[in-house]
Amino acid sequence: MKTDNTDYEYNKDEQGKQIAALLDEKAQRLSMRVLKQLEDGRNHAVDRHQKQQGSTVNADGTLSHWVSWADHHRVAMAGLALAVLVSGFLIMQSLSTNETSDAFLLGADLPPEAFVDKGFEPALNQSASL
Amino acid sequence: MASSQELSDFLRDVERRAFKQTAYAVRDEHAAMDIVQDAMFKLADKYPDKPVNEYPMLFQRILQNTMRDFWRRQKVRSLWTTLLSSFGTQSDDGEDRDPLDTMDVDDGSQNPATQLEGSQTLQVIETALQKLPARQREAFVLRYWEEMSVAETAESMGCSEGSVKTHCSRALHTMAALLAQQGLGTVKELNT
Amino acid sequence: MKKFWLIASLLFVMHVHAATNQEQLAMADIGAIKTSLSDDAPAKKWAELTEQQRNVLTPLSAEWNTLRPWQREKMLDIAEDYPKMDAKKQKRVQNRLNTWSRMTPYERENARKRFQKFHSLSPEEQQNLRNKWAEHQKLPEQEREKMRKQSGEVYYDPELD
Repeated sequence: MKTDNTDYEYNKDEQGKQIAALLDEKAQRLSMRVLKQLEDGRNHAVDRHQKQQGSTVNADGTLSHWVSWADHHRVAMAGLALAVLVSGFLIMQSLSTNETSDAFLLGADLPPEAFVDKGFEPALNQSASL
Repeated sequence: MASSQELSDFLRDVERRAFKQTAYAVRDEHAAMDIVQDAMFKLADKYPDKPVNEYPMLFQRILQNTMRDFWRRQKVRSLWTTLLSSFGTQSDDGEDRDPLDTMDVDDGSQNPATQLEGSQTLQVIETALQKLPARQREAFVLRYWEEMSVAETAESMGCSEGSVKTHCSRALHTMAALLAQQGLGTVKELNT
Repeated sequence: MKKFWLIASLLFVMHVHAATNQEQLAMADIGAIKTSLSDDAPAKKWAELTEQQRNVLTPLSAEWNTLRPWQREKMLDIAEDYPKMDAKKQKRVQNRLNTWSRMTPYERENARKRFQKFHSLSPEEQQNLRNKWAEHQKLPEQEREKMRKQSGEVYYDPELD
């Protein structure tokens, strides 16, 4: 009986996903006018977000901190240009041998369930503290 | 804390389907655009400190709340709730049911969201989606389109997991019935 | 002066490299970056995949059509990296594909972040965690459910209601 119910649930879910896949495909095809309006809304939100971030010093904000400092220094721009070129090269390198891609995640010694189990999270956090 | 680039990437990914989902719910593309833009701004304005992995659920909640604000402002709503208040508002699963949920609106060809191109199947699905009671549509969208788990959907909707399953089940039943009615067979057959 | 700028730009490079790599991973699923707005290339159907791709992704054949275009792309990325791994890892990938595809984007996002941390640990620390996971799995489901509830990760924001 339980198996029947599980199969039924699974089939229902499959049906729902099929329908949603069709809807999603349709949603990707919008008029240029609509896309432009969405883009405007997005940019407006991002501008707001940037203003809120300001010069907050944190792990993610450090980069923009650097950039805004460098903006005021002409000579720093030359260093930045060089850095961008070199980092681009390094990123291309890392992309081709990315050992933390999804494939390696799935091939890891721990299963993906371990990485999403909230009950196991404290153990992960303890080990990962650097 | 998400970077502005992460926010931009997230919105870029979600904006098209958020617009369509809202259009199906409010049946008005202009209002849908206002709502989506409003929701984007609220996400950036009110929650600048949230990490990017919280965005999907957060954005959905903001979107739903903004839609509710829109409905509240509709003048028609107050008229209908007065007229329909004599009917029971309690649904089977114990949740208060919005009288508008059961209202059968003739959307016909006036609704811009039904001016459709593409397959007949899609037309039927879109019509069905718009006609669904709000909670069934919300559950369907969150569960299958936004790909949230039952637990996540329940948290987002503020109801039990059982309710989510019931809403989804009913939504699918309606869609399947409408498709069958049009002699369109199963979605699976047409998708291969 | 020149030396200073060389060192400064190298330091900058290292920071950009680390930040961008992390951002790329962070946005892998939820961000699902579209390279162009006009990218209307239809999602590849199962029959359109190469034999190699189908061999790797066999466990997903039944549900392939329900996957979004960008999800299919991510699975194809896995197929591309597959030959780079040893047989043991390859077997694991195949066994875990279904679990992976059925997770929510939210969960996959979290998994990527935590895997990155795991990957950066020393072999001893990784072994330590493997042992802990084995122990964790021995606990009764009730106990594990309790631990999940206690973790305190909040999805729900009361301010929103």
